[in-house]
Amino acid sequence: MFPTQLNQLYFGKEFTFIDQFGDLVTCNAQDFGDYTESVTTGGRGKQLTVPFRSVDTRAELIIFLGGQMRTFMQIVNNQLFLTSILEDKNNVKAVRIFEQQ
Amino acid sequence: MISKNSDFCEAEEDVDDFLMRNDLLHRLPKATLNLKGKSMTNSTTPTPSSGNIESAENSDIGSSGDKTVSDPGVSVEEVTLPREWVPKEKLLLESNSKEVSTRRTKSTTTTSTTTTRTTSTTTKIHFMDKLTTGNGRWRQVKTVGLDEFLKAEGGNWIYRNVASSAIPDFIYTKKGEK
Repeated sequence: MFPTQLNQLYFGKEFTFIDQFGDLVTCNAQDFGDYTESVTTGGRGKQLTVPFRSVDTRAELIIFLGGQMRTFMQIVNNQLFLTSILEDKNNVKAVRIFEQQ
Repeated sequence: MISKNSDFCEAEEDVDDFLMRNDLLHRLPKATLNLKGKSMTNSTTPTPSSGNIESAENSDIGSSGDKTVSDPGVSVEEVTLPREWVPKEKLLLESNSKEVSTRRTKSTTTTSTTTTRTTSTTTKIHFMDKLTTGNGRWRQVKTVGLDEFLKAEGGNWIYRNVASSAIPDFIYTKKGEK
């Protein structure tokens, strides 16, 4: 269902990509050293963690359909915690926990 | 029905409680938290143990420059005591003397302190650099609140089941840095 995909993340600048629903979203990510924070706008409020394919899209074609999702990545006790918040959906949250292989 | 992998678990607990218990709240906007009536005793100041190690260049350690500290110099004080302070025995021995002089000496020490100026370089470690260490491969071992999140996303039943059943491996590689 979700084949292996290559995605590109950029920190410190805005970029766009097509999410898993095929919606165009825009993302702005910051690397603060001990954590990252990214804000994804558009689509249906999808989470950044689901595989997507990045594309080059002209800015004027961006259509904001959905809400805003804020995603945090933190490492605590050698575990990667990826917290996603749908701010326009009553701040519903999901946490994914990863361990390094 | 799509069955989940036995190695993987979706924790059935409140997401905010989970975040608070694991000390993950300090970066999240307070407006997004639902912590009414909950104590944030587990929330501590973030420890940037793995964060940016940034030290200022030419930082001074201690006071700047060479410094010499001197106590008051050596002094010799001559005190003239009145006659009534002289012991009687001494008066008998030195009956002819009109006054007795006593010398007191104060010893002082001159201390010279030298401080060193240390220069260190600025080292900035990005968070993503930590993710790419080793093989950069991270396996999802647990989720909290994912089912509700997927519902709020608006995906259909099939999508939600597939997405919640997936156990993704993330492989992070660094392509460049500006």
